[in-house]
Amino acid sequence: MIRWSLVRLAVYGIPTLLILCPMGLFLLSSFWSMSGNKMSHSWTLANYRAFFANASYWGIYLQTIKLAGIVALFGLVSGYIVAYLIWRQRGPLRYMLLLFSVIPLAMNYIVKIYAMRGILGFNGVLNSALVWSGLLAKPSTMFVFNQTAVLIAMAVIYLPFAILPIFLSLERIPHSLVEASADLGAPPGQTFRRVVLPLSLPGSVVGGLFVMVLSLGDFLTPQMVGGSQGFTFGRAIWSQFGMAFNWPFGAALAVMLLLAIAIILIAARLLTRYRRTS
Amino acid sequence: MPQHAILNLVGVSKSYRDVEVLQPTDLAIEDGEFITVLGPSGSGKTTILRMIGGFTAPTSGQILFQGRDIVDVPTFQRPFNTVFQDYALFPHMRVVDNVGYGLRVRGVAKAEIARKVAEVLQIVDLGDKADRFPNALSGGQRQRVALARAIICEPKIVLLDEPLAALDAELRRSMQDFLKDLQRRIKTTFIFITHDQQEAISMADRIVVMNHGKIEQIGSPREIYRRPGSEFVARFFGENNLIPGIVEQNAAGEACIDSALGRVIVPRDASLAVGSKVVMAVRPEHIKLVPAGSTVSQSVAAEVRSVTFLGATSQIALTIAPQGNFAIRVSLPTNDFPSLSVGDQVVAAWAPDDLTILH
Amino acid sequence: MTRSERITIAVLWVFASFVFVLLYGPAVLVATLSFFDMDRGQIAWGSFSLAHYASLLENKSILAALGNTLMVAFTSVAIATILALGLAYYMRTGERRGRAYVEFIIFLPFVLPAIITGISLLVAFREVGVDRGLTTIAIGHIVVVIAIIYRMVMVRLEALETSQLEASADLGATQFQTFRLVVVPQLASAMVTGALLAFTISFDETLVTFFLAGSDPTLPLRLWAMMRVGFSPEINALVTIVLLGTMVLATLGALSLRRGIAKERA
Repeated sequence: MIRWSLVRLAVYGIPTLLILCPMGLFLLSSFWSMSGNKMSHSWTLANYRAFFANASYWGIYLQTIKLAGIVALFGLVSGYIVAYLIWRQRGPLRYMLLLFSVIPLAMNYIVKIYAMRGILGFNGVLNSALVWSGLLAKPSTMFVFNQTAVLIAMAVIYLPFAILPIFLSLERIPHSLVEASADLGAPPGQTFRRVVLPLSLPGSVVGGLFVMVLSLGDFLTPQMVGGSQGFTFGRAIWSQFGMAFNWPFGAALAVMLLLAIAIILIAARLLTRYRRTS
Repeated sequence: MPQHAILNLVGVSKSYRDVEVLQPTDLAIEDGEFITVLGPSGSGKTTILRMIGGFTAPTSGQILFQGRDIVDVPTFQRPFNTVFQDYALFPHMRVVDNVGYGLRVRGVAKAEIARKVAEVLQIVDLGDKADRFPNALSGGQRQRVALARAIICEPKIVLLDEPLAALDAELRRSMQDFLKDLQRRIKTTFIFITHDQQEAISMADRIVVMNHGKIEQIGSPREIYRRPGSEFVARFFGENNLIPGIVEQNAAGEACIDSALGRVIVPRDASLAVGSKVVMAVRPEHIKLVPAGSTVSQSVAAEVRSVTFLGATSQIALTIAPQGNFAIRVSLPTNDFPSLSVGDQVVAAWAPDDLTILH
Repeated sequence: MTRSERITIAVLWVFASFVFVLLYGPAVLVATLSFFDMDRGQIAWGSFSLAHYASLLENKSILAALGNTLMVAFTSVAIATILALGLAYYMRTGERRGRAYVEFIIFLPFVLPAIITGISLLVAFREVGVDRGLTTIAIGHIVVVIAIIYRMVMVRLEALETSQLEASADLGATQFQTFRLVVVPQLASAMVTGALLAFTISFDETLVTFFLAGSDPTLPLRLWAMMRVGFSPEINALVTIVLLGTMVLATLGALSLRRGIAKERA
């Protein structure tokens, strides 16, 4: 019987120790302060007060949420289009296309940032192409080391994360429902609007939210393609753990990020539930 | 309790939270018998089997194997083997490995395993399928692999949990014969769970009828057929006409009951109090039709309501003349009544011995 | 199909092709550049060679980073696989009241942004006094990948009928024998798929690793450091190799997943 309680201890203890405890400590540490180069365990709300008192943090906070929202929207719409087209296919082509839209997930993240940098730079491929095609007279600075550059890079990097969940939510729709709709006289467009879209939307929104969460927490993409113009909240948090070296304040900022995510997720939950009951 | 009982359930019960799925139950199973536990779903029959196999622990009571309580013996140490309803063949093992599994986990030598597996596969007539994987077999073949796997360790009891439920009618029939024959050959106790009364009748030495978590009746197929012990058994076990009545008198070797069939005579039964309400059962095939106007002591005038052709027999629905709204069914060999049609006046007759009083 | 529908679909396909160009364009570009020299921001088309790949092999710091990455990936995936297998098996074999709790916890790092996981572990290691290094990175990776392996294994375990475990016990097998002879062989493909996916994730993991690395960088961190300095054909070569490697891994994972599904249906 001792053996069994050991097993139970391991089963519940290991995840708690590895994941829950660190997260608990992280939450606690947002109420600590720095003394010298050590964290002091005295309780204070100073970190949160500093966040709310400083308008520039507020500004970046809201701007980053907006940025992540746009990235997510792009991921949702274009991810839906790609996923829908794949879903309509049958046979090997379907599997191939699915594989092709999943492989970018496995491409190294840093590599993707690097490649995007090569495209977005002042002498990058995008500018060269625009100049070559005659759309621009000279290279533009519109997407060089600023928020737009961050937006484009994130949109491309995180798009594949939306395709798969959207495809899976389409895949869950029984084919018989589509056939039933056609049988009852609905033309394809109506079937899509009245059957396919409503049934796949909740799952697709989850895919979009996933993209949003990923871009909210990202600090390397903005750092690599955003320059000084493309500052985001993720970078703000990260800098507290790097140069600024104020961990408790960084933790408090991260808690604010977590709060935003929690609100978004709860709102989405309420939204999808409302849809189902109505 | 009989001396030769191999397994005794003593006051065994099972509850999940507040729901009692099996009331305290006693059951003695004799060595070498083919016993069938029959009942509708939710009657507790599978619970009994699972407790014997050791998959579920009883809430109370004892399970005595050769006189020793085995409630605390884990499944893998019990000398019983089970044929599961879904066969539970291991999909990643070939037929030989599936069948030899029980010997392998006991550490039997490879050569010995091979020899015994070949022998058992011969018995179930699957010698040529030894290297197949389960998903390459038909339903009936899987069934026989499961059976071979369960008997190879020479268990003292083989437990069968509705093993034929997934097979089609014809295959079922032949598997019933095969099982019965196999049981005779290996002289092992079989406990067979089913919800099909036809299956129970054709295979069992004894039938245990269950309903609502308790045993309704135990007896040979003939006994249960002839003398159903309760209204449930009478309804569940083949067709029966159930006739309500009131005991008018009970003396001098026979009892007299006023019923929907008129005044009927049954053998005297001390437990029948005068004035009490009873229900009698009579099987459709035990009712005869005699020409209108004939006088037989146990009979009643009736009108033909419908005639349904069922092949060798036909079923005739009658309404009893005096009551007008009481219907009984009669089953007759088709050849016996070429000219019967709806609205005909007939007389239905029976022998007192074919009436069973249900308590 | 009606005409308007056909037009709509055609337009959608054009858009989807554009999306695929967006997804693969950058990678193709980098791979192309890795074979050529740059001349004042222009590709010198005449300079095709594998020279940049050769010079990679000379670069000690990159090879060291690659070694670190592989070591971290192998250890963390091995440990996470064992943990996930044990957890899933425990949760599957009985009514476990704590199942929802454990699943909630292990899926947290999967759902929350990496920065949260990174900071949490960083603070925790600091509080217990563990110095940052390859060990802390490996622990971080275990936390990140355990959910995905658990999920893979659990899906397969749930498909495994309880009656199989009962049949094994009924035939005389101890719990351990049942686990070894009945459960593990049937989980093998799910475990391989899960481990492959986890390996790909660990190999690429950057955002959590950033918080946990000491003086020994993993390959993504090394790449990041090189990139801050600027473009160089050597990076392109390295990036191309990494891309190829992860794509091969991912394809293997996808194939093994597909084989698993095909087997399930048979």
